[in-house]
Amino acid sequence: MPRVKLIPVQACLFIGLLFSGIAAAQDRRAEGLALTCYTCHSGRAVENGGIPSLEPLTREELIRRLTEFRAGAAEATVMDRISAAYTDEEIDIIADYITARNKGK
Amino acid sequence: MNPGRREMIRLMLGAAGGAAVLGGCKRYLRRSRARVVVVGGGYGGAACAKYLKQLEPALQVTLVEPKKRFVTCPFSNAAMAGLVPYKSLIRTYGFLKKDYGIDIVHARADRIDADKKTLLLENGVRLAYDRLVVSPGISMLWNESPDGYDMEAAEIMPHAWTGGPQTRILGQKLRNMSNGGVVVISVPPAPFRCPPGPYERASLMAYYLKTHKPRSKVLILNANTHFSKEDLFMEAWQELYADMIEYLPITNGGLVTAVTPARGLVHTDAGQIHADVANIIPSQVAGALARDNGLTDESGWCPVDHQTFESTLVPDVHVIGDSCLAGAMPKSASSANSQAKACSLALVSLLYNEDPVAPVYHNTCYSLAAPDYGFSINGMYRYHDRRITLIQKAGGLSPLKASREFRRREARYAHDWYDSINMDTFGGNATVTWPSADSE
Repeated sequence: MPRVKLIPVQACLFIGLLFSGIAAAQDRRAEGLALTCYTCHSGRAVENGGIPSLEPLTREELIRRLTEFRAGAAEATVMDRISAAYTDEEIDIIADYITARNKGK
Repeated sequence: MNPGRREMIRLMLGAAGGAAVLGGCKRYLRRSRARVVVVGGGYGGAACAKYLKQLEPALQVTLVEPKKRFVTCPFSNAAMAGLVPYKSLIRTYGFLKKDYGIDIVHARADRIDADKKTLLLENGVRLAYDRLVVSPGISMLWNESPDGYDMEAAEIMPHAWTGGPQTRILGQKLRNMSNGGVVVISVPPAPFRCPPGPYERASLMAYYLKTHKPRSKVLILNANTHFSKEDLFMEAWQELYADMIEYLPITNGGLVTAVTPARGLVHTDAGQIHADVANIIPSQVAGALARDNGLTDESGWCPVDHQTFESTLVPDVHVIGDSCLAGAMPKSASSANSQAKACSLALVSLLYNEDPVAPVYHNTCYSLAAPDYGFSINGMYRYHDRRITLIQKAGGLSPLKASREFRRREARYAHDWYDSINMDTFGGNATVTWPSADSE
């Protein structure tokens, strides 16, 4: 059997392990950013003006809301102060995480 | 695949890829067997145990907490003033056990053996750990408190700075006080648990008194020059309670030097005051478990790595919550919750041999000045130059001179915050405390 045929198998193993490491690190980064949201947004209040649940929100809505809060373009009590901490990239990561979690529910 | 080819792969893996594969296996074995013991079932410890299992269900997580019922400090001022029932402050550990598979051990932790990596409980049981997390809250520094103030005095002049019986004693004394009485609240030197807490307490006591005993007064004696949310509280007091609340900072006779509980006397460097109800909040340091096991430095608090919360004094032991020195973060339930998440993420990374990621840390604390009058402080933090550092362009206080509608909304959010952080920490479903229920 020619030896060359087996190299892709090995390469796949290496790359797979490498990617699982990178994926894990990306997951951790997303968790490190997005788990914060659930301190205040774990409740069920959606009606009559309470802290809203994140579950009905789409990725686009999350990004739009966070970006508007950060810019002072949406009415806020505390979300303007909170969203000011995050970069555009971090807002995308947070929105991705919440969307994936919503789909999992 | 024919046997020859399989053999060939095995040989080649052995020669070249073996290291990576074995590394992966070792990593897997390590993490599946890894055992984390968490001590302290408050906002730090319970959340840390929950998030460890949520992030990595294969971990063995044990939560050690002597009490079967946890009585929260958040909203204890509201209960004292009759805004919510006392029973709404109680949380239990059933959801953490049932829904997250955490072993709950109701016993008091006694000794940490850092060499053998075991925790000895008072009942003689020894728990082995790969990593230990302690979240022991605060302990009272009786010998640096006003002369004459000790555990016995605290039955007469309650501190009500740990959840449970002390809150009820103080609430009862407020109810028994006659119209025209004086309540004295003594605030210790910083740092202490919940920096705006004494001022929310003064506000909600004034709310109760204004309704039931309007000739009464609340006098705040502060052993510091300033306090958290000072301008917001001052504005609220002016608007709601006029001259019912009097405030004296240390520069104006606010330092309490001694108490005479039997005669209801509070002595300051400016004279003595007769208190019909005295709430003496003592100086504080890290919880007893941390102090007894070499986790504290000369400040009385626990120095930790600001990314992993691993003690800089005892290896493989992590300290979160009020006990730890977490840079710019205040000692609050919200900080403890944020530290619990960061610590659980770091623990998973450490147990997986990954580099820990640097999260954004968060603190949001609401205070109620009246049932429909709330405001907040928020801090956002990054790990920067090996320290938890405030993000200058984010965070801050609710605006001054806001509308009553704005204050009403934040009062509502305070209740929702409470329900949410309790779910996030203890699991289960929300207990709705809004609209206000009758007390007792």
